[in-house]
Amino acid sequence: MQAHRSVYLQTVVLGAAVAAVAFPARAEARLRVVASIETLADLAREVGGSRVEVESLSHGYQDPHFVQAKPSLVLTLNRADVLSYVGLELEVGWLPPLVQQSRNSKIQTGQAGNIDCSTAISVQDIPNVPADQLRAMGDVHPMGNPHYWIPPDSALAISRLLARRFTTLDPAGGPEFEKRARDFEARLQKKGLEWARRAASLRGVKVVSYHKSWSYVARWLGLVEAGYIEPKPGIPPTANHTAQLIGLMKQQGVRLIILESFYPSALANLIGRETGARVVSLPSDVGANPAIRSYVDLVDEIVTALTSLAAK
Amino acid sequence: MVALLATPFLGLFLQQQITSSELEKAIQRDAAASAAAAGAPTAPPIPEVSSPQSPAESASTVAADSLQLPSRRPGSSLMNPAMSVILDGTFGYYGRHRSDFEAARLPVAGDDPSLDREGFGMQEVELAFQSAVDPYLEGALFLTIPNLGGLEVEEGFLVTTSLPFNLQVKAGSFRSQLGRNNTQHLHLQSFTRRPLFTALLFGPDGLRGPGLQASVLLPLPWFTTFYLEAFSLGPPDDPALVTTFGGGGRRDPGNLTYTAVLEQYWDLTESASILLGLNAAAGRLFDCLDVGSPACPDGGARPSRTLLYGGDLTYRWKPANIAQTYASVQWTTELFLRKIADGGQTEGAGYSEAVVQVARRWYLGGRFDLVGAPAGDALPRRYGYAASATFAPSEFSRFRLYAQEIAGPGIPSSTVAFFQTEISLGAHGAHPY
Repeated sequence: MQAHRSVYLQTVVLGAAVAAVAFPARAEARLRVVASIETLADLAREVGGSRVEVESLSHGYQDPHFVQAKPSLVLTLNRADVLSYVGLELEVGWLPPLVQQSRNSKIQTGQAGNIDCSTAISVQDIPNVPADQLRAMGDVHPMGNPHYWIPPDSALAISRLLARRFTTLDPAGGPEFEKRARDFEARLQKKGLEWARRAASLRGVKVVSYHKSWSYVARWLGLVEAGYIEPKPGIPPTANHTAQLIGLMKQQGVRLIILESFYPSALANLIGRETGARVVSLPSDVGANPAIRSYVDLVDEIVTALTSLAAK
Repeated sequence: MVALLATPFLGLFLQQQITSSELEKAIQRDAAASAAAAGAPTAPPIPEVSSPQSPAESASTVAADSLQLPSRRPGSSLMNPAMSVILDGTFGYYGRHRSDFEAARLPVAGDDPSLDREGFGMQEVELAFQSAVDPYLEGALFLTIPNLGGLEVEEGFLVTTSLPFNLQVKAGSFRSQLGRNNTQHLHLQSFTRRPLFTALLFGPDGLRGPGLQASVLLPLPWFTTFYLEAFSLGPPDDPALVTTFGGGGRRDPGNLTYTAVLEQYWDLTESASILLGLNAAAGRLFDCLDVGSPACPDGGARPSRTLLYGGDLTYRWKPANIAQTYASVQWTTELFLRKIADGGQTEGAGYSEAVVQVARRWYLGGRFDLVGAPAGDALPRRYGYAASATFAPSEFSRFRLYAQEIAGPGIPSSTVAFFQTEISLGAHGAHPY
């Protein structure tokens, strides 16, 4: 009997030790937020302040369509209280298996910790094509265009959504999240006026972009999208399409070609030489280069790059 | 034959890079076409324009607007699970004579192109259905029709999403986590045929069947998952074929096949990573269930367990910003040893394969198979040398040339060559690591 009790005690002590290693008590109950892209991570920091710990699954210099579903990201998601993602199937190629493997009930669909940021914005470019013909249009996003996070309206809507969800998950932090979201809104309104003033010269300027990922920015700044270097979303450029595009650009007087900095710029430069259009490689996410550390930095750099080139 | 098939491939490969001269020609063609149509007010020539617009309207937003009318969400499928269909068609042949290949005692895997159907074939049709069941479970069903004969359940299982302590349970009929290749469906592979050891060690369909899996993500600083599985594996379809397990059809938990897998992953740099799997399995050979069975090594003096153990190592190098180079490397090596019944021979088999992405849509692969190292009665020494070239026009289609030379002491070497097309309809599948 004595021996049994001793074994029992040992088991309890060992179990407690394992539990202590496995589930260490946190010094402070900060919400662990994992975002799919760095811009969403920055917006979570703006709203959450010191009450959140934020990590991003991808880097701003990566194409967010093609992040590798590395098992190390499973580990990051396993420890998350919140998953904030772009949605509209931007991450369909890599995020769903990671979330499933994370064994984390807090971030599964339908939980407060699962934040699909696209639910906060008004979605553009929902394909008007029968579902069975959709793929003939290329690797089109069937739920609508997911490249929405750059215009200030979108950032504002996302920050409000984050504040609401953070409050649900950490009610004690509610007033702080509310205050920080309002501060952010005030700063954005000021910056928004400045961006609008600086970008006034862009209104009506025709642009060609690599992928159909600047439509929300175009709508915000009044740029006119004249065409795309990709013949169809996700389909590599061909000589014939490029030639047609060059013809179109000459005919319409398109003077600007924009592309994300993660795309190779050789073909854009070639088209630029043929048409006399200027090529501008734009950051599309926080962290696209080391100088872009926040959402405001990101939009600052986009507006600066566009206006300096369009002015020439 | 291979050269014949390769010619259009080379053409496609060369088309990948747009050169100035090529572009110049295209521009000239385009200009000539425009001149021919001069005078007539034509819509600007970007093919995406599908809606009838007047030239004045289209002048501003042409290519941009064709997808912009909000109407409905074709991506929403109401209450249907996410569905997809994957078709693997092949054209090719096995060896100079089919009998050469059979004489080599190398059975084909269930989703390899069939030995019975040379020339054109449909290697596999896969129907996949996946959905959340409720807030606690996800479910998946993968039905396959291999080589146009018979409907099989490749996998059909539920998996938990919200168990505590990082636990996950999978139940149903599914592929074992054992090894690397065994976990993968045909369309995740870069070669037309499975490794040679698949059918020899696990049977034509790999190690899969009705069973239960429990796994835990261990609380370590690096990704480590430990899996335990139990399967009821039935006898092999072909009684002449010695597969490692298959005695699980009888009552008694002692007849089930049990596996244990420890999977670990490390990021070496941002671009480079390795995945290491340590695998072990124990069960009963079908013929060795009963005392006195003559098929057992010791004449069936006692019922005995069969052991299988090994490791797999995957190294991957893929830059975070893949669009800058479109270059990546994946190198996988798997080795297994087995001992049929206590005191039986130790036999081994393995393979090593590398797949290199050489351009945005091009992948080249090589695989070396080694069977019978050490050799035994059921695993004679065989070598396989395979090469593949894959062209992937989009996320949803692949065209592959595959050739393999099979050799070994005492057998005439055989050649295998296939042209494989693979298309995927429906829901966008993810790309697991």
